[in-house]
Amino acid sequence: MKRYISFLIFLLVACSTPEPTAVSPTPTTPPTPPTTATAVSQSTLPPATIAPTQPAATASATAVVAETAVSTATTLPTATAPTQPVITAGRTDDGAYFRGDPNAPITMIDYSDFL
Amino acid sequence: MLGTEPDIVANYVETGQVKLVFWPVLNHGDFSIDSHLAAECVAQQNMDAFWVIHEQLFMKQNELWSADRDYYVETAVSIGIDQAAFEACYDGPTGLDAITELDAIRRERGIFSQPVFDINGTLLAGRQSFEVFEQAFQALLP
Repeated sequence: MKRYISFLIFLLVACSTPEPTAVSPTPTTPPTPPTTATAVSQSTLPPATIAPTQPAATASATAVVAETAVSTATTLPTATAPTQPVITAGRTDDGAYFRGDPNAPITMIDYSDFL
Repeated sequence: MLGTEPDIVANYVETGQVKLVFWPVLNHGDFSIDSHLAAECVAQQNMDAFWVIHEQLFMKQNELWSADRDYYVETAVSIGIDQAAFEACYDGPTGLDAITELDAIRRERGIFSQPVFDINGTLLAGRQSFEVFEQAFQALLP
C-alpha cells in the first residue's frame, strides 16, 4: 500500500506541468514598412519589358524624325526648285520695247531703224 | 535687226538668258518716223503684236520707202489691231511723242548709227553674225 501510494506520488510529481518561467520582456522592433509597394510585387510579377516593341519604336522614331523635320523645315529655308523663265513682252522704264524674261542676266538693246 | 534675231530669240531670249530690247532710231526722216510710228501705235494696243509688226517691217524693208498711211493701217489691221484705235494713235500726238523721245534719248547716249547693239554695256556697231552674239552672251552667262 505504501508502495502504491509512493508510486502515485511519484507519478503525480513527474506529470506535473512546470510553472511558467518568468521571461524578461524583449523590446519589439516595429515592422519595417516596405519601401515601395512594387518591391513587394516585383517578386511576384514577371519582369516588365523595358524596350518597346519594334514597330512602336519605329513609329516613335519616325515621329521624332518627322517632328524634327517639320521643326527644321520651319526654321531653315527650304530648297527651291529652279524657277522657269518668264517670257513676256513689254516696255522698259524708258518706254522702249522688250521681249524675254525681264530678269534675264543679259540685256541686249538693239538700236535700229526699220530702214 | 531680223537677220540673226530669230536664232537669238530661239536660243537665248526664249530660254530666259537674254532680254531683247528694241530701241527706235529715226535716221531716215519721215520714212523712219512713219514706220516707227506704226510700230508704236501697234504696241499701244498689244505688246506681243508689236514684235509681229517689228518682224514684218524688217522683212518688207524695201517696201517702206514707198509706204504711206494706208500701208501701215492695212499692216496693223492684218495682225489683229483695232483700226480705229490705231488710226487715232497714228494721226495723233501721243505715238509721235513717244518715238521722238526715244530717238532723243539714244542720241544723248551717243548712238548715231544703226544698228548698234548694247549687250550689258558693251557696244557692237553694225550687223553681226550669230556667232558674234553667241560669243558675247556666253562670256556673260554664269
